[in-house]
Amino acid sequence: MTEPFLKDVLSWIIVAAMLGSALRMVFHKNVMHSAAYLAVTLVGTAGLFFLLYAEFVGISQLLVYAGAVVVLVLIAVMASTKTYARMELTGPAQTGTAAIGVLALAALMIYLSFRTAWNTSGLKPYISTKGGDITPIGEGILIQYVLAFELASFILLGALIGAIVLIRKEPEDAP
Amino acid sequence: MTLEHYIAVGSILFCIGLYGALVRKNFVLILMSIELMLNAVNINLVAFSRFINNAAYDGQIFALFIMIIAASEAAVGLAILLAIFRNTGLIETDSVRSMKG
Repeated sequence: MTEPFLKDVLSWIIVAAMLGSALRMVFHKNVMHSAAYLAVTLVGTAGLFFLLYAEFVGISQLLVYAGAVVVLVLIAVMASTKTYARMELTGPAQTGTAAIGVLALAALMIYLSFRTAWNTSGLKPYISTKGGDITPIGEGILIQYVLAFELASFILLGALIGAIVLIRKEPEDAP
Repeated sequence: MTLEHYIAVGSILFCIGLYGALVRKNFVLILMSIELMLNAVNINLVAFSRFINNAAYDGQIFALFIMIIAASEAAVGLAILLAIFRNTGLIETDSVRSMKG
């Protein structure tokens, strides 16, 4: 399960860009810049997906996250412009507690992941035939997980209608 | 990168998102941090799907489902945010102290 050297270097470059822009996103006082850094992180994640041979998920990530969600966030930021350029944080007690807890959680998860003996013998080969990995993903969605797939469509419909109802202005000449 | 490295990257991203959601007061930032956390989980799932099981694509399919949930969560969350902004003129967590409109 050794990867080519160049691919490893590319992975680490993408990871560095992702982590750096995620930190900048959280700690930037301008929400607009934070949205831009979020976009960088999401595109980097798509790059990691491509390097993991998950092309369909990577393209979905680019379309859904880096396309739709970032645009939604930008619209929300632009529609609520009053809180620009001010770093609003919760109190120092909560900030400190959150920092300690989050660092402990990260250390614990990384420690456990390196301590666990993963069974990585079955490294998935790259499917280079026509269609790539879309065929098994489509079969999985439409055969094994078809109930979850239908439920997801209902959730999307509910979210669509809910968002429209929430955002709708009351008519001016309402009785 | 091995599987452990991908899990470490996912853990760090998740914790950065968690810290942002706990520390910032701006609703948009909180929603963005939640997106970051869901994204970190997706990295783990896709890495598992590549490294663990030889035949199954379950990890990638779960990642797609998480993507669906994240998109609808963003849409509804931002709609609620704009409704709050329209009512109170602020998008910080302190501005929502009562449930009355």
